[in-house]
Amino acid sequence: MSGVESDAQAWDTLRLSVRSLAQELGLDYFRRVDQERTFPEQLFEQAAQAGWFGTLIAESYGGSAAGPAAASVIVEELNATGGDATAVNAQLAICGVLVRAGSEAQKQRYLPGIARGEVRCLSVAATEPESGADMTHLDSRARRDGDGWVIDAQKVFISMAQHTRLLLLLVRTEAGPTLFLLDRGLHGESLDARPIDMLVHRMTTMLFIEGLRVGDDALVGEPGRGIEHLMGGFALRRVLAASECIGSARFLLDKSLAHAKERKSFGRFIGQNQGVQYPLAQAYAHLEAADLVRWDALRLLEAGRDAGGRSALAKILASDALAETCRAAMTTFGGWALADELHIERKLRESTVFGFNNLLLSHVAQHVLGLPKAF
Amino acid sequence: MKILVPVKRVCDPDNANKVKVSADGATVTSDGLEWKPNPFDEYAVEAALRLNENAPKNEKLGETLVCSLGPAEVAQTLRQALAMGADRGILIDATDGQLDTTVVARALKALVDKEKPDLVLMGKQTVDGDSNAVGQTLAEMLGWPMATFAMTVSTNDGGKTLTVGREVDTGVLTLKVTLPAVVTVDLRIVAPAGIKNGATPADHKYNEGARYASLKGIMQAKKKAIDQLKLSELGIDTATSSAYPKFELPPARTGNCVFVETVDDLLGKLRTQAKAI
Ligand SMILES: Cc1cc2nc3c(=O)[nH]c(=O)nc-3n(C[C@H](O)[C@H](O)[C@H](O)COP(=O)(O)OP(=O)(O)OC[C@H]3O[C@@H](n4cnc5c(N)ncnc54)[C@H](O)[C@@H]3O)c2cc1C
Repeated sequence: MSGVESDAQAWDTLRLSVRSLAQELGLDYFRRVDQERTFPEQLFEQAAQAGWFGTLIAESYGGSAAGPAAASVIVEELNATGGDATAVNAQLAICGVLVRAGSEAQKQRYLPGIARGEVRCLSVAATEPESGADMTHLDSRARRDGDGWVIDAQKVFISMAQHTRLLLLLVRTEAGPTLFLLDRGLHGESLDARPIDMLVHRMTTMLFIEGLRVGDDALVGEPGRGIEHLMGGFALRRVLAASECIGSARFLLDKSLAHAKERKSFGRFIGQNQGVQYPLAQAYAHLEAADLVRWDALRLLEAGRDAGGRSALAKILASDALAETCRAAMTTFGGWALADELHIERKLRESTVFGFNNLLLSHVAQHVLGLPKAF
Repeated sequence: MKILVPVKRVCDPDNANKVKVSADGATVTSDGLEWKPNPFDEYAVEAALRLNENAPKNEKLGETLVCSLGPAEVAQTLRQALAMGADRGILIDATDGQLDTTVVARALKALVDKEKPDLVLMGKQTVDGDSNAVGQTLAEMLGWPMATFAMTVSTNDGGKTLTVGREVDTGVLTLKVTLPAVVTVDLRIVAPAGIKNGATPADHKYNEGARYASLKGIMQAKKKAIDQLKLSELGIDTATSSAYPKFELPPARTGNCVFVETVDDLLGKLRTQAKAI
């Protein structure tokens, strides 16, 4: 049996196990988590038991080293089942920064717990009220104080800061943008995270840190290279975002197809009308194309090659395909698309977080197409 | 102990309403159906893994083989069992049309002769054909002791015999069988304390049901071997002994509901109208 075949079988097995886990929790579980704006504790616990969180972590640190494709299949399938992969995606991907740039002590201390799901590593805090897309312009600072650092930071749009134990914080030091690893078990008191009410349940917060003292052991990688350390994981994170989009689009498409074949108006199935068929066929075409580019990006990542351009394309195409599928689902469901009980409305809201692609387009323009640098 | 578990893929019972009969009634079409391991076979794999491990120590005590007869795609079903923890797979290439109870039992006998397991552990029946006959036929062909519908299994005499609790209409019937033997399992075999193997502490409580394939298990399964054999290579008589002359879908239900006054009335209607008895 070839490696390609046994890979495909492994992903199919993984799909089935993700699917049965999500189906056991049920669509209403995800709806409740969304409505009550809580952390998906049960999903997280079961994902931990299934060993998903060790995907990017080497076996010597208690992971499975299953790799990027496994991570991608997990988040896709969770969304394709009508679930929401946000927390799972964060836990399995953000630790990649520690894997790549963390010190040996940080790895030994945290990676095994992250792989088991006991140590939550869910948040990266980069965005600030005055600096979003442009991460180089930071007001948050860490200044040298004896043999340690004192941090003052204000961050905005930070996902899951109230639920995480570990948080990667980007601040300016004299050397430039620098990454710190904060452990809420150690300095929880000095971290003030306040929820921001958003259209989508992303457990979004505003984060205030005042006069927090940490030692050199909290530094991740080298001072001044914080953005680089974060960006090292961007290709994977884009592919995972693309995978989430593809999963959600598949869910919407499946639901829409079933509805189009069952719902009657004017005495015939609505799916008999070209006005309903064509948007669905079009969305499907774009979805399949996005999926191929996503697997091409995964091929590069699995081979340890540069996937910067491909992963950007995958994210752009997949989020566009999702947006298109959302429109097709709205056409198919009519008013029912907006009623929360069918789970379409939730997916429509969730899809909005994937729609910001300007910086990716700029990446493609400059690095893939060779156009002049814009900023 | 070396355990052989035959597994079959069946169309997802949750999608049974998608089953279609070909226009000439000669075959059931499986187009567009999703495949799943037969649930009872999954329970047999789980039971075999429990018999062959010290659960709290995460230690393996024996070899669990899984085999399947079918087209190349059944490798996926085997891979799932390997991901749960089985050690090796055997795929016997065959089409559905080539198979019936007798041929499957003969093929399994040939495999048993070759692999010499201590125990063949299998589902009591598949949820597609529901024949409930392969295990019994295989035991007969092998001349081995047999215990069907097992809900509990415990090992005794240093693994030489098994005590099997069988689920029967009137209660639980306990049998002692000497290995090698054929045991077919029922749903309750995967209850938290269905299996006792003398190694896993007797008070150990398993999760209800068959285990999920963990991600680690799935990745390890990629490297496990699946031996490929052809039905014609087993040296068995491959003539089927049963044939399906025609398939028909049951008449669509009308949804009409009729209340009857007496039991006799009901029996009469079942006989004359529904022709069910
Ligand atoms: C649901 C959600 C969760 C988030 N979670 C996190 C998190 O966990 N951690 C974190 O640090 N941040 C998080 N963010 C913040 C996110 O990273 C920022 O929204 C993003 O960086 C853009 O910043 P901004 O919103 O301030 O937009 P701005 O930087 O003000 O940009 C506004 C618009 O202008 C466009 N734009 C800006 N510069 C250019 C340019 N040079 N060329 C072309 N277009 C440009 C942008 O693309 C954007 O569309 C989250 C955001 C959302 C919506």
